[in-house]
Amino acid sequence: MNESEKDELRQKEKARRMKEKLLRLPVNDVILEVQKGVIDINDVFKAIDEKLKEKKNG
Amino acid sequence: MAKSCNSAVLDAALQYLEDNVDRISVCEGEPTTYEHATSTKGVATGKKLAMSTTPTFTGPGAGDGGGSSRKTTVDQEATITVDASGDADHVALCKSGTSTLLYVTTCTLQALTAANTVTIPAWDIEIGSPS
Repeated sequence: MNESEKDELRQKEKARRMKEKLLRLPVNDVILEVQKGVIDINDVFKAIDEKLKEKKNG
Repeated sequence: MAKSCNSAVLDAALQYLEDNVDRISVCEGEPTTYEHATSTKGVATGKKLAMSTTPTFTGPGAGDGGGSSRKTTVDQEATITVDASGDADHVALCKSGTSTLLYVTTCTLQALTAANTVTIPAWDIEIGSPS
């Protein structure tokens, strides 16, 4: 699958999920305050390494 | 000596989240396992108070930190039904197919009541420039 096909699939899935979100109704709704997540670059390299190992192990 | 990282490397990590996350949950206490993040509080080791199966992302794009930093936005997840009452203080992103906890962040403590709803506003995940 090439990148444009992957993007198309992503867009379709996002549209499906957005549509589903619109159907929900609020009940005494509480709004959270979420803290932004900042990742140190070293964590990313570890994650990439783990992903590569995952792929090697099938 | 300077360090650098091509944005494609960081985008791959952020894109991994968009391609794999299919659960976003609000938890009481820090979830360190998939079970914590997806099982309702009061059931086994569950810490989940509310969960949605429709997380969406916008990005990746340039980060706020400047340099080669990159970020993705987790879109607002409105009016999720609360399954168990408790004090929400963490938000988790998971992949259900492999039962994997992928990302955890904190939120300001907020009491939730079962059967009501909770909204998670849009928030960012950013990877900083190498330093």
